[in-house]
Amino acid sequence: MSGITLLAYAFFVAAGIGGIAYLLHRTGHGRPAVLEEAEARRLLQERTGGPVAGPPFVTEAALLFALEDGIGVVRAQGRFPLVRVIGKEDVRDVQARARRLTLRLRGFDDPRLVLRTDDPESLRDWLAAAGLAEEAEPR
Amino acid sequence: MSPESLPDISSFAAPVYIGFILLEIGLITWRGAKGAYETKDATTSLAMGTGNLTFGLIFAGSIYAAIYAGLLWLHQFALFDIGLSVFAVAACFVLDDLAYYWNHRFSHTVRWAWANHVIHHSSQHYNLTTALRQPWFGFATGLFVLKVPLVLLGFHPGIVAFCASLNLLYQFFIHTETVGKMPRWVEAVFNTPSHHRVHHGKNPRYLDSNYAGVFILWDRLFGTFVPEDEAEPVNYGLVKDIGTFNPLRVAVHEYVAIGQDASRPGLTLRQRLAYAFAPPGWSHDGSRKTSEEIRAEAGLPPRRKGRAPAMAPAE
Repeated sequence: MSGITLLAYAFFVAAGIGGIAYLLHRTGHGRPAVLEEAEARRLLQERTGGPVAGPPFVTEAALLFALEDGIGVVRAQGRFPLVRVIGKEDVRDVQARARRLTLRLRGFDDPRLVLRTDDPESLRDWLAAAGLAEEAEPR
Repeated sequence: MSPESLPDISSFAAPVYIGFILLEIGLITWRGAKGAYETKDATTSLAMGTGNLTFGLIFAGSIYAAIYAGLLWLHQFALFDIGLSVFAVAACFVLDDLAYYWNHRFSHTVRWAWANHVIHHSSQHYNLTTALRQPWFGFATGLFVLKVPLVLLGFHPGIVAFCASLNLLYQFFIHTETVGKMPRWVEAVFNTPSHHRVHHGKNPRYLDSNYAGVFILWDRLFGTFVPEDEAEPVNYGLVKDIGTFNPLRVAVHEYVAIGQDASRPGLTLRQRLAYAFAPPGWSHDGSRKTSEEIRAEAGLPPRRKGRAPAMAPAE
């Protein structure tokens, strides 16, 4: 296969991928999972093997539950919920931006958790109570 | 035509892949066919397929050329001179599929090989794009040695490569939920969408089953066949699903995990090696579970006799 043919093939493949992604986006296949509290609690209980008490902290695309040692997170990964148990040792740092907190994690296959909320200070306090972040400055 | 001039069909079938993916999306979206797509997931799968093709081309003149040269060198010691004919290609196709079965089985039972193959299983969806979610460094497993018996039997490496390419092309079409069960005789002999859905399942009863490429007969023969049970829908993906759509992280995450596990302080050499070569899920302190342990916990009988090495935790 000549260089020109290979280049044309590469362009065709790139255009094909772009076209498929655009088509999926336009036909509503890009919507993330909608998480219900009861289902999230059930999934987390399944993962931890024990009951999950207390109300969750609700963010835009994730539900956070306080556990004995760290937190349980049920978040959308595309159309599916993804369950993670995060301890203090799993967190590299917490970065605050307007309306969102980003937990940079040590796991290579799950490197960060972006939490979007209208009340990032409360979320930071909630994470601090769970031992995962410094408390927010007094308002 | 010489064996060397046989084409690499699967690498250059992108127009076919794209056409059928568009057809599947259309059937699911507008005709209510069974199946599901998700934009980021599908785009990641397609990016992995493109990476597979790109790295294949990058290494074509070095690593893959060296492997091919090695097989050509071995071919001079072949028992028979089988040559190139329709019969030769047909016989090679069947025997290469047997080699594929064992390649695939080792890819699920040896973590070093799983690190390469896990990429293909890392989607929670099952559609035609999942077929293209392929590894970038396939040669790293060393499982190309399973082609050696075919070459020593007398099949030219060019024919072997052509048959492997046909095999992969066939497998593209079975990655779909849109097709239900095929006629009974087809399900009995061939790997079908139904059989391969089971293979992609993370339900305990579906783990480590249906390794076939084209002929499901190998699974029936070696005791790894599990039929799809309509009462237990398949949950696709990994026992612990990854939380990223980044293609680079998808491509190397299990290699990184092996490195992290094997370099933990306080382990014996045997334990470090076991983190690379024992079944996926093995751990020195029993904190994780292999497929066999997950199946046992679910009250299912063992699928094979081999077990992960039992080793005491490090002091």
